Amino acid sequence: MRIKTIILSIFYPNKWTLILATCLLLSNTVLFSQNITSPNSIYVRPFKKNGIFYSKGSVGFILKLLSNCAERQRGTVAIEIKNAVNGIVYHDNISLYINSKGYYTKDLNLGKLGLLSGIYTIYFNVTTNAGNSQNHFSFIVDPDNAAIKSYRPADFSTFWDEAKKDLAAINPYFQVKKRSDLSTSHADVFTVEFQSLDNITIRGYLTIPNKKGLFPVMCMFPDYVTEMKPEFISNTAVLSVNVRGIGTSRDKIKADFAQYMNVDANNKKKFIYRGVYMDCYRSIDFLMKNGSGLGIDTTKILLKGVGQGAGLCAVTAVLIPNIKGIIMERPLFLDIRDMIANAENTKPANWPASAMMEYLSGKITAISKEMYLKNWDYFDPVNFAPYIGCPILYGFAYRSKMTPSICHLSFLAQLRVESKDIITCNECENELDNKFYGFQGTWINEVLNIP
Amino acid sequence: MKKNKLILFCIALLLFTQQANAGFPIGKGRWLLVPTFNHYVASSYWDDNRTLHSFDKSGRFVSNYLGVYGGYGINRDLEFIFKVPFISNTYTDTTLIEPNSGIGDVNIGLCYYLSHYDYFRHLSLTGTLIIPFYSNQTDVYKHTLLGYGAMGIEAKLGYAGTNQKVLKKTFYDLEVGVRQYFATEGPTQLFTNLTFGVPIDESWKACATLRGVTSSSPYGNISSNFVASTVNREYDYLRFELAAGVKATRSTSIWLSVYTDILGKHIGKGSGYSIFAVIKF
Repeated sequence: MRIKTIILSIFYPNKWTLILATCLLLSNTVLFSQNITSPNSIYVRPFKKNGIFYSKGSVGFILKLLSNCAERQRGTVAIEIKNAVNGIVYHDNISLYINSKGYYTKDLNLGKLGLLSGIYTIYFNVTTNAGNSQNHFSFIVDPDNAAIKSYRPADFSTFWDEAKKDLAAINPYFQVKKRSDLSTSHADVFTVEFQSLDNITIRGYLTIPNKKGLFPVMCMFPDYVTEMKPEFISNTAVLSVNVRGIGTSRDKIKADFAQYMNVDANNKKKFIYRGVYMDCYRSIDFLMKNGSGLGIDTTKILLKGVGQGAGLCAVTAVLIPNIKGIIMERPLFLDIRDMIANAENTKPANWPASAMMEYLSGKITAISKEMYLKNWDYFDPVNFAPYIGCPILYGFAYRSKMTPSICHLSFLAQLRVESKDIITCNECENELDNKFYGFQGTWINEVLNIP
Repeated sequence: MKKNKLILFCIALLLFTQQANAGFPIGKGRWLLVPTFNHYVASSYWDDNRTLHSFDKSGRFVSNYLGVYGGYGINRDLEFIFKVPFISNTYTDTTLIEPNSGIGDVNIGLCYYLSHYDYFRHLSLTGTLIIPFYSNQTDVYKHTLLGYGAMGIEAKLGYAGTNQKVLKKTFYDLEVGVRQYFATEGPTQLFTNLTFGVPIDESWKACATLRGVTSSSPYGNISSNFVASTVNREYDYLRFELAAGVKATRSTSIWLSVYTDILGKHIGKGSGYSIFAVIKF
């Protein structure tokens, strides 16, 4: 009877109890980017979702400070906005007063600044009698109108037509073998093997749900010198490809982590990425020619890659039409020119730019920087970007030291495709947060029309 | 006996508040259809003091509901939703058999997602227009009216998601809302649906739901208007439901749920089951 009374007291005498409970639950959800530091916690929320402002006039933030100390605070908030090359474009000081355990909020409408298209970071430095607190937030302004620096070689298309012609001369000898030892109760696993450019054997894993019907397929390309293993996705087939020199495809090329990116970088016709791109091309060719017989819907091919793999997706989507969509997660090797320029102003330089600079310094093979960059222009995904014709999901971490934000903006500025979703993570450096992975599921369902 | 009439009516009205997958986005350009069959039986009621009594003369109220709830994703943040119910109510006792059937309150509305957070959680606000497709003939139907017979609106806040860290892959759908009928006597209803679910394997899911409703009117259950005086506007109840579903095809899952009323005031106590399919395309 007592229990019943308690339950009744929850649901009946006060009908607002449930509403309040739900509100409390929701209040735990972090809407703001935050950095909990003593004596104040600084929360920054951009006016626009994701911190991407598609017009100059819409730039703005809500700043919220929560006091963590018992004493009253007087002081200032120093606000500074820096552009992608660390130039200060805005500076202001605001006086503030916060009660004990109180809070301070301010709308910062920065539309009047007329910031040019680009990537910026806004820094907050709160100095009071109780101490100092800092936070910063990166954002993009008007990405559709960013200045386009095109270094695409005049013979760019011809170069890749010739590469495809060279590949066509190699008989692929596609082989598919079922691997019962790797299969699960929900999916069959196969090893896939074929010959690619320079007669190099490429291997990968194909997982197919063991149900009736045709399944959409996701082709996954590897991160830098990172072996691909069989991947399992519900109701979707997955082809995980180990391109040359990676994982199970190291028969001829055995370059280590430090050397891989510079193998034959002094000769654009022998450069390792010419072969790598053709390995990706032939992977899709394999799906197109053999998919139907394996239970794959070859009209629904999606590409996904992390790091180096992200760039491989962009390139492959250009070299082969009819790709349904590409997922680029934390792209690496993107806008090499800006990446090296940025590294030259950073001490110490960050990898992979540092490895490229070491190569250029002649410790391994002598080649002029200009020649090196000109060779890379044939391979830089930035120069493929305008030709991408399928939906794209692009996620990057603002604090990545490997791929500076300016490189991402260069790529995004070159995109001409209408359907592009950009997910950023302000607090991330070498990973992305749940926002990207959660949205990725929704995006895949949309693009592949999965119920 | 008069009290029993009041009690019976509202049960049928509330049966079709259930909406599968209500808090999760349908997806841009895609459809969700949930055809549902629901069977409910009540033979007792709680009085104003929450004391349980049997209906007079071995009375028994049976409601069968066949309807479809659906939605279309206009974009990632906005959905059009609708619900069309067909209801068949029957009240029997030792002296009476009273059947009534027809299309009940049709709902149409919009659901807007205020935030998707990390896309594993979703906060939504739903506004619905309630349109009665019947007229209450209280001289014919004393026990089995299909609804309030008045236009109404409903506003609902929903928070649904899938856990990623603690209790990984379990899901929840929490709703609170208010419903207002445009009649002199109201009523105004506050409701909540709290669902927690677990995936059993890749095909099977199970969930438990607690549903609560509290209905009130400035006129209570007394009105000079004859029609209004026959309907129950002052009541509350709590219902517990267990459901299990299996993925039949890539686009369709089939669910079975059983439920029972566990607490109430001035309302019938019953239990029932529902079978529904969740179809996405």
